[in-house]
Amino acid sequence: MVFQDSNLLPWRTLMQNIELPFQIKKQPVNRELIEELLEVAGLKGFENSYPGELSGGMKQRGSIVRALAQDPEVLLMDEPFGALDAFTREEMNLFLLKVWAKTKKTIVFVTHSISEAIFLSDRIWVMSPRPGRLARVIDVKFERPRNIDLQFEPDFISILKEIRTQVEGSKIEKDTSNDHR
Amino acid sequence: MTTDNLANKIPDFNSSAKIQSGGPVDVSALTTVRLAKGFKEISKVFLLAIIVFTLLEFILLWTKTPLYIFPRPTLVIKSLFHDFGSLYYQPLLQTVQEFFVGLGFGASIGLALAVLVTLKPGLDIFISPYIIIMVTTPMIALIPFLMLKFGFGMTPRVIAVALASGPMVMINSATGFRRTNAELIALGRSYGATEFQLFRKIRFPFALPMIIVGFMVGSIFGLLTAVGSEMVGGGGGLGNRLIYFSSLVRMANFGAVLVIVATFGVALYSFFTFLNRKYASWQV
Repeated sequence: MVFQDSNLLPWRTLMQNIELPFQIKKQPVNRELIEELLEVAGLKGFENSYPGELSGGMKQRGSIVRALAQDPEVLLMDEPFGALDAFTREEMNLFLLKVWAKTKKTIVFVTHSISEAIFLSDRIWVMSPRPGRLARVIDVKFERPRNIDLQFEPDFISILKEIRTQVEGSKIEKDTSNDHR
Repeated sequence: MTTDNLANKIPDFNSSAKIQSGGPVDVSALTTVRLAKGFKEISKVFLLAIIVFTLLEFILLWTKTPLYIFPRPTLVIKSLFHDFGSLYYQPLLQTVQEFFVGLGFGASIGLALAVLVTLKPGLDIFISPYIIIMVTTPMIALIPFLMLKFGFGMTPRVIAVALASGPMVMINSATGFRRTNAELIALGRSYGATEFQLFRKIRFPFALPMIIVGFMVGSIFGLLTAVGSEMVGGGGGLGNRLIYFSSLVRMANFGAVLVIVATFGVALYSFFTFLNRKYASWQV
C-alpha cells in the first residue's frame, strides 16, 4: 500500500522506516531485496537520512521501497504522485515503470491524471464521479519499455481524448441530474 | 448556483484533519524559549548577571540596608556554601524525595489514564471533568485535609504532588496521542499492526514531544506543590525552612534556601528541555 503522502515516520531513518513493516509482522528483514530496491530507487547512501532531510520525490520512492520490500502480490497505490511537481512526477512515473519491469508486480494505481494513467498502465478502469461507478474499461497496448516521448504519439493523444470525453460526459450527466432534484 | 450546491462539490477536509494545533494545555512554548548558545553569548549573559548582582551588592552596602530588609548576595552565597551540609542538605533531600515519589506516582497514573482514554475514547467525557478540576485547583488547598488523614509526615505532600503533576502529564499525553496523524495509523493497520503495536511504534513516538512537555509542566506544578505544602504543613523540607528562617529574620539563610529551590526548578526545566532536544528533534 502506497499512500498519497509518503507517510514515513519522521523519527525513524529511511532504513528504519523500511524495516517497520517487518517489525510489525515480526519477520526477519529481507536485506538483499531492500538493497536491490534502494539501488533501483536511487536511494543508496540515504539509508540513514531522516525523512525531513529528503526531497518529496525521494520520500515517495522510499515509501514505495517500503511497500515492495514486503514482496506483496499486489501493490496498491493511492494517488502516490499527486503531491509532487510535474517534473518529479514524470521521473517517478519512469521509476515506477522500471520497478515494474524488474518485479512484474500487479500494481493498482489510482490517479486523477489521465496521461499518467495511459503512460503507466495496461488497463484503465475509468470511474464516474459520485457515485463512484465503473464507467469504462480501456486496454492500453503500447509496447514496453515505454519512454516519456510516448505522450506525444497520436495514439496516446487519441486515447487521452477518449477518456477525457468520457470523464467530462459523466460530469455533465451528474450536473443535470442535480438540477432535476 | 447556490452555495448549498457548491458545498456539496467541495470535498470536506475538516473531517479528516481534526486537531492540528492547540490542545487543552499547549505549553510547547516552554521548550522553544530562545536561550543563549555558544561561548560568546553565554559569557555575555553571565557577565550581565554578575554586573547586576555586584551593583545590588554595592547599593545594599552603600545604603546600609539592614539584613532583615534585604540580604546582600555575598552573604547568601557565603551561607549557601558554609551551611549547606548543616542547614540545607536534609530539607533539600526531603523535598527532592517528596517531589520524585509524588511525580512518579502522579505521572504513571496520568500516563496510564491517557492511554486508556486514547484506546477507549468514550471514557473521555467521564474522566476529563475531574482532570480539568484537578488542573485548575491548587492542590496545596488539600493539604490541611490530607494532614488530618495522614499526619505530618511525607505522605500528604507526596499525594499532593501526585495530584498536581499527574493531571498535567495526562492532559498533555492524551492530546499527543490523539493528534497522531490518521494516515500513519492507517499505514500501521495496512501491515496488520495490533493496537499495542500501533501504540508502541507510532502513537507513543509521535506523542513523545507532548509527553515530555507534560512532564515538564507537571514537574513544575509538582515542585510548586511540594514547597507550598511544606510551607503550610510544617515538618521539614525546603518550604518549611523558608518559613522558619523568615520568622527568625535570618534572611541570608532564607535567600540561600530560595536559591536552592530555584536551582532545583531550573534543573528540572533543563533536564526536560534536554530530553526534548534529544528525542523530539525530528519535530522541528
